[in-house]
Amino acid sequence: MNANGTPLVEVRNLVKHFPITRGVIRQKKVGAVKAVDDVSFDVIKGETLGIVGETGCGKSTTARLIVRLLEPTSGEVRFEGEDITKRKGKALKSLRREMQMIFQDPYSSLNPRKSVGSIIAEPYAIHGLEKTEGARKKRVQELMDTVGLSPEHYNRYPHEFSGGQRQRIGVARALALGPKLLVADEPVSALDVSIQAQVLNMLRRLQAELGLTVIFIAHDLSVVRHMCDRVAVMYIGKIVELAPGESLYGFPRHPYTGALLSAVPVPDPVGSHRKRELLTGDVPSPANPPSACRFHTRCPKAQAICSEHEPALVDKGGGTVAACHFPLTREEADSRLPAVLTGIRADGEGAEGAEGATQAPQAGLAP
Amino acid sequence: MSTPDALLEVENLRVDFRTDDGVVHAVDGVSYAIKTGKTLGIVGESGSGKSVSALTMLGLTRGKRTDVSGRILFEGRDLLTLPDEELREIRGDDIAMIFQDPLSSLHPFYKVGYQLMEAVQMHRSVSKAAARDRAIDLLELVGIPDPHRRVDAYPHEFSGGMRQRAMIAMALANEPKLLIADEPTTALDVTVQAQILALLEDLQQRLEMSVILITHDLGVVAEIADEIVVMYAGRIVEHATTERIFATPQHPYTWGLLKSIPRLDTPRNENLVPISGRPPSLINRPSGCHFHPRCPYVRDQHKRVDPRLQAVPGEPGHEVACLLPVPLRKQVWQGLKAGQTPDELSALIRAKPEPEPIAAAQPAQDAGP
Repeated sequence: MNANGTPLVEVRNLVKHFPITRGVIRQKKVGAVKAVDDVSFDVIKGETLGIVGETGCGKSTTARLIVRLLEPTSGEVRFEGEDITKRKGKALKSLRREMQMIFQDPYSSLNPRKSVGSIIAEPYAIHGLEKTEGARKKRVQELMDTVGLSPEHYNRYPHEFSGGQRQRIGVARALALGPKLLVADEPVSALDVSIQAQVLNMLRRLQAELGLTVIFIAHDLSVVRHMCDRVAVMYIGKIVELAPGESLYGFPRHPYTGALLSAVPVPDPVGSHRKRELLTGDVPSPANPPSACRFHTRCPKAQAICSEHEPALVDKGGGTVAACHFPLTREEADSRLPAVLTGIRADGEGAEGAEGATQAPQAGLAP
Repeated sequence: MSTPDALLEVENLRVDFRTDDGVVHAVDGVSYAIKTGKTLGIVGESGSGKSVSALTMLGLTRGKRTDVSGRILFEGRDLLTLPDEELREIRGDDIAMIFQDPLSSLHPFYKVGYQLMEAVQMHRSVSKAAARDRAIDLLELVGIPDPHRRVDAYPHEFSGGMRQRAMIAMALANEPKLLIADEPTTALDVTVQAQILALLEDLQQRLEMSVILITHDLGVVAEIADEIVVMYAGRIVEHATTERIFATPQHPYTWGLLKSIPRLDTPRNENLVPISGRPPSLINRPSGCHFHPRCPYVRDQHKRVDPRLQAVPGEPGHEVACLLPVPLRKQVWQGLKAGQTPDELSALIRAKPEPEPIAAAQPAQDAGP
């Protein structure tokens, strides 16, 4: 909201409620799943914005609303300053050239009966571009080369490719129309570990080369840290914290962000030994979210006010906004972070904090 | 490798599946042992044989088109030759298993409590009421709130984390000596994953269980395993204590795994170092060292000679199957840790003259056709 640079996408008070109905013939609405509930943020031109959160927090729904795969219940999505939520027909079709999506599952997002060449060329067919077959083939082969596929594989079918290669096909298809915005919804979580790095490196390279703006959705906090300039943390349909990557991972302000970071397993038996903060219970249902601050039922710092007044997203300095009445202090944040993270920072400013951090504020745990 | 206080010993296990496309060499000469009360982590990608070796222990791969050889000794009995009835007595009693996907491992038609009672009554002759009490106790043990009410719930009424807890409860029903957890947290969110891992650790200490943890996530094994086995293409390529695997890894595949995952503590701007290529087909495995097509440090010899798992000099209990000379391996890992790329390092290696015969290695015997 307060980052520098021109925003490409401005999301304002976006709401998506999916109705819950009962009855077979006459369907009666008996409630709503509040998948996205009053979310506002900006995506700056050329940046990668990460959205993290647990299953059901609304991160994928937010992405689908932005690219207009879903209709919002209310709110605005402005793309280059213009509200796109009301667009229809031709105007909507032209929007598709500006924003494209990469999906999680490279197995179900490619048509198994089409050759790779025609899958990647499909956007040209839909939009009536590159009309001659020769020109189209040439463009497709260029794209295949860009994403690291051999252009000779033009006539092969998806089943002949491995998961990582299929994800590259998905990326090539998304890039075909030269979009400004790329929305990647869990692009590597279905891939083998040794393959993930290939796709992540490729996405980073493409973004730098093509000057793309990327919205990167993932549940893996290490991957998001690696890929994103700024990160939004969602919890039951709301953004609870939005901050530049360095600040979010160095000094999380919202207790939920702290809990998420504390739960990340660190592949280092020496660096990971610290008391971890465990959230108790499960994420409450978005059909019936807790009152006021939605995290208060699991929050170690919750007090009476948290269930009465909903905290607004407040500027905490350094580009960080967090919605919390009692944000984490430096010591509390350090006690939640993996030792490796506080270790890095300890060389610089927060050395004392890191020292006593390991045993100290364990008291604040959920009952 | 006979270990005196081992609860379970796997010796030279081979599992081949005969398919229409050819023989799948899923597990190829794997040996390891688990001590009482310890956790062994088995790490590898899909198709590395990590799950098949565990499934074979419980006789779950038996079939007309499966060829199994080797020995799996559990308390002196060979599980591979045990008749089905006797194996059924062990399965779910002394050895229990947790699967990756809790939704498809619970029966959707029966109440959770009923499924737990079944697990108890299968092995103990107790009354229905006693089994039900036990089911409630178990649900409480794994931290499901309000177990008296939840015992009558159906699996679909549970969340993902609760289902996995119910699965763990079922596995613990008869206080097994060995628990096999096959990707127990892969389908779960990080916060729930942390809960489940903490629960497993706690239960293990209380019940003095041995645990085999199968996963592709190095973070998870670093947290709870005592020893780690790294598998690739049906074989063990490295085996050591958790500390050693992370401090002085010896196999290029292990290096690749460690360097290719983004971590919270690596500099953000650093590019990841991917492992090139993709996991091999287990029908037509590469000749020589199975990892050679993806290995940046490959030499001509490695394409012909099949490396055997050998002790690393000076590091008791650390075994690796790699043809690179030991000092060179040390040098490469130091370089990787310092941020050099595999390309730079492999150039360095190529500059050195190729050594004569690799003394310790044996010629390839059963490399793929």
